[in-house]
Amino acid sequence: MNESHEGIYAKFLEHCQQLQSTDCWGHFAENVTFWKPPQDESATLAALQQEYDTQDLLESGVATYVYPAEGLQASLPHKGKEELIVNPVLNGPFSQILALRASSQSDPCDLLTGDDTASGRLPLRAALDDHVVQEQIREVGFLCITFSM
Amino acid sequence: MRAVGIPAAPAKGLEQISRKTLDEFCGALGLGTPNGSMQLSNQSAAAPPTAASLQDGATHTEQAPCIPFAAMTDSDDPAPAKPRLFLVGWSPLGLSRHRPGELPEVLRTLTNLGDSLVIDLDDLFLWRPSHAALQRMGARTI
Repeated sequence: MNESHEGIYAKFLEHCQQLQSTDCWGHFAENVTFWKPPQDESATLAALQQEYDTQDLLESGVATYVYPAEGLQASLPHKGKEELIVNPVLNGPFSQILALRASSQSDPCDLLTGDDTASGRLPLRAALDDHVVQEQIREVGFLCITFSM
Repeated sequence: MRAVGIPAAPAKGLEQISRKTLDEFCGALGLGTPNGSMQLSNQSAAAPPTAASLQDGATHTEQAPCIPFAAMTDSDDPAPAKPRLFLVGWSPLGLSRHRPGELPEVLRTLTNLGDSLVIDLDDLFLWRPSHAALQRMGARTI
């Protein structure tokens, strides 16, 4: 696990607001914190860039490059034309972000949404690194694979 | 599901999962390996693991070893039960028996991988509650 990535995820969440669940399970959700994407993408990226190298932001998956004209994600060798944006996985209009943590006190080891993880790891695999999922599996002896968040 | 104490993880991307990633997942969860062991396959995607290689005590060479949940319990039981996998074949958000559109492809992928012994299909279940069970859940969530 990359510690700088954990710091980046924690810093990113400082720019997100907690999501109040409105679905039928909402009143069970007091022990679960989902986050909304940051309202101000530019301010979020600026704050992150004050503390971390752009390379680290890219490797953590919190940020990515796009070509403004073509809207295509670019790889690093094409520097110069690209624009740094928050990873669309974490910035969709309906994104609900769940921080996966190795322990209740630790910074997130990954950020999970219904679309993917920030790190790009398979969500099913990444979820196993979360202490809540680990404890629940030990308690009930199974893992549910869901098709919605 | 997490809120009510049910461990859950999204299926997103599972329909295109590679053998290597599934092997790593199964190792972390304690599936596809002997009960309570910490053995993992060291086979690459180009060299599919055999049933024998999954049990020969080899360790993973590319990823940090993952401790199966079955091996992480504090129990003195030398062979605690392996966790089971439940595919959620209904809509918890809508409280309906609507079958997720991605389900058939995920099932097909896992079945194909199961045929090649990467995953033991005896550990895999499909969760489809009855209408009556859904009504009971609805009464408790309102």
